[in-house]
Amino acid sequence: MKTFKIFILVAIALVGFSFTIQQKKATPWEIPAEYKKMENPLANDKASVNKGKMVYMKHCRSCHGNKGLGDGPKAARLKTFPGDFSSAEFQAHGDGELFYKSIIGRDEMPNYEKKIPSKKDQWAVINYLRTFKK
Amino acid sequence: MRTEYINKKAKNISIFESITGLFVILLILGSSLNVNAQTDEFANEPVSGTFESGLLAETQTVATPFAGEFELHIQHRFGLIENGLEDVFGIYATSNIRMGLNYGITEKFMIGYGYTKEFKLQEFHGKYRVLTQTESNSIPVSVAVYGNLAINSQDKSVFGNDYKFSDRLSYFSQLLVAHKFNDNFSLQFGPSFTHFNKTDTLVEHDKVALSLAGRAKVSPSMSLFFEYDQPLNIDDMREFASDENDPEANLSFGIEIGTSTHVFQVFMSNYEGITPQRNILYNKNKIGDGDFLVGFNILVRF
Repeated sequence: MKTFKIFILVAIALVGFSFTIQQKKATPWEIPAEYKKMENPLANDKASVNKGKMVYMKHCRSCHGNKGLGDGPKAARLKTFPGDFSSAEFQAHGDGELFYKSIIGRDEMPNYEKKIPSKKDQWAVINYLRTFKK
Repeated sequence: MRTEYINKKAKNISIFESITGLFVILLILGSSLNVNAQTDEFANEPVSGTFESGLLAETQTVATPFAGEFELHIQHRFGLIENGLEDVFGIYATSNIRMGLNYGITEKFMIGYGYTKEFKLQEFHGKYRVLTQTESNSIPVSVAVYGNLAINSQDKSVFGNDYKFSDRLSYFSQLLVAHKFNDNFSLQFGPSFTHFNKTDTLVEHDKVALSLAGRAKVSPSMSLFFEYDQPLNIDDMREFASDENDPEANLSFGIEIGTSTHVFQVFMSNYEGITPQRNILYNKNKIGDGDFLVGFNILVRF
């Protein structure tokens, strides 16, 4: 009976583990040149960061987490890790590149041009993403 | 008798004037606060998020779904809270439910269908956003027009002897004017006109009403809101001499939580009809008597 219990525990652990390692790291993005050199037209001030926070908490938080660590409540069900926005690697991207990743999207990262229709809101989110920098 | 009528009229007009006046003052105040707003490239962009969704408690707002987007509405009103623990503040009392589907044909135009449990109302409606406020306030308000047609689909014996299909029809139309003051605060004013082809005995067929609604954000995804509806029971516009069947005003207030795909509203309200024309013409629940009920609206976008 004891071995059976241990067997069940190991089986559960294995199943659980196999689900966690299924989430793969994102492959590198192919960002069009026009976005790479695109400049952020919105000043990175308190007002725009606050606006960006509102948009982030509404549209992004559920996957990317409150602090941008990729640990939101829906993140575990994604096939791809949503990324750690506090990392130096992420913050090294230019604003235009972040804009493409955030608003245009690909695969599991949806397009937000319709859901965040205001250009000002779109760039405000980018300014808010900068506050995650460690 | 005559003076009583005049006094009453004066009272009604003063309510009307004070509500309109308040809105105008707030509008001017809001515009003046934003005079020094940025003259950047976003100046002529439409403002976003004046309201979280096209519905706020009992009223429509200037918001419409995006082009090609569906909205599923589930609206629920419990019974009056007056019985206390006996029916757990109305939760176990008779309730009213509406389910509806809206579709955004363009960014500015939506159509929808819904059905309400009470009176088996089948409702078709449409909303068109005529103007959208801009970031620089070059257009200071968002304006939308809303109209609906409700068909009472109860058994025809309900309609009495001379039954005609048109007896089932009722209409509601509203002009909505909203101003977003800043990221946290928006107000909306909405005069409306209600018409029923057939009403209960000594109930008027037409009613003009005013609505004032507002929302204040308390956190990035949560806000507090209120809504007030005043039917204009003015003697000059009265169809019958008696004011016995005059409808009562409504006050709704509650909290709203908005996410990317859902909007949740939980609130207290005097209205139990859900469909606006039913609320405007037949409400007997008084604010002063504490005839409130708990209601919630859930919206799913897909």
